[in-house]
Amino acid sequence: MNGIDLFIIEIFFAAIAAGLIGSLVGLGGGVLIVPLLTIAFGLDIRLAIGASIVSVIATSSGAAAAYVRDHLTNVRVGMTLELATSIGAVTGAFVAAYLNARVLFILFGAILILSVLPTVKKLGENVPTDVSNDRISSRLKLASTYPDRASGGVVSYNVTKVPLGFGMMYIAGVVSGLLGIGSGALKVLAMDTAMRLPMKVSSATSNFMIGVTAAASAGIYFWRGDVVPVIAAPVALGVLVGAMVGAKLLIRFQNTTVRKIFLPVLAAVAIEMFLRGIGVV
Amino acid sequence: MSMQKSPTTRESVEEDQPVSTAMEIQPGPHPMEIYISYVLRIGVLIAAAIISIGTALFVAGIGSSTGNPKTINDVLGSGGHSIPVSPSSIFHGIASGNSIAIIQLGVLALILTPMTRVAMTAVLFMIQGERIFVAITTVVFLVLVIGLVGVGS
Repeated sequence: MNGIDLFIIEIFFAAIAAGLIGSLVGLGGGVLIVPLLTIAFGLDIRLAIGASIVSVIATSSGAAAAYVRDHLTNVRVGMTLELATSIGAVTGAFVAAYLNARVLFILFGAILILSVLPTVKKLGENVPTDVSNDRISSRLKLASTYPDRASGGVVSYNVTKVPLGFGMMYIAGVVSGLLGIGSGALKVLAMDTAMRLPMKVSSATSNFMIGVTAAASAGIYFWRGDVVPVIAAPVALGVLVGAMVGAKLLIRFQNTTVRKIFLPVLAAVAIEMFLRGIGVV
Repeated sequence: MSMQKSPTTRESVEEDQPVSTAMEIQPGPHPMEIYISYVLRIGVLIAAAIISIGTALFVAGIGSSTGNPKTINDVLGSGGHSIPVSPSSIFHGIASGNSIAIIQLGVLALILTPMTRVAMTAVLFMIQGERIFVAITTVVFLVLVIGLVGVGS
């Protein structure tokens, strides 16, 4: 076994840990991959982003499959907004080629901090009432229902401010294509605060959209040569394993306690990325 | 909400049995969700299997290694751009049993998984006569195709 084989095995196990932590804090298995590969392994941020975007497709598709089957995902809302996220992702991947690596570090740090903030104070746990469908929502019949395990019945909900949500989704798509993350936090933010979807539906639908968003930019990174097989393969396989274990653990443990443990870690990682960008570290 | 024909309270919906037959009244595209779920699951499984095989062959040193990186510096030294990627390089690589090309095929399978899901959703919306959604889904598919053929490369 030579150096490069060891390198692959090290990345594989580190990616398991990153995928596990990412899924436990609820930000998705791929969120820590770029910091891991750049800070711990010293890799070029472009190659880190290329490997990360591929792993995002893998983890999100697995989770999305489960949510869709459980009828939590609003497929119509997801498909409509994928229009915005996929175009945004192509834009982001295209623009990334012209940005300095330092700018990417700064952006990554900033987005990671922004993603951590809402999870500190969990927003919108309750199903929003007093929401009426806007014109587009009525036209596209976006209002739907989801099963409520506690009562055993179904909860119906409306969807509002589709244009605003659509605009926010475009930005989420750009961020995803630019930084190689799923940008699930931004997607949930758009559906939760603008379109007033129930939190469970927002999370599930966000997951549904992440795979398509990531696939839109992954091809660009792939042919560009930024998806290096000896890096991307152990990352994708490791994150997949980590996220699967994380999902199993989440059922058993209290979500909030897990978050309290790992959120400071994420905040530290975000600051580190930011400082690298401005050239302090 | 009152203007919608939304299925407000159907208490009898059994969430543990997705293939329920009592779904005809439910306007939600229930069979569609089952198909989507399968496509995503199977796509990721296939891709992960191909990537695993390629990685295992690489680490074990089996198969042709023409152009493969031998050291970490081969990967990092040139910024990772030492191995040009093109459909023909992948095709020829696989034909000669190159482990790196096999991993690249697996990555392509992963990218194709959400694309397949979108294409299938378009067909299902077509069957249901949902014209607007056929249009939306088709545009999303076209954007993915543009992304895959590589605008920036």
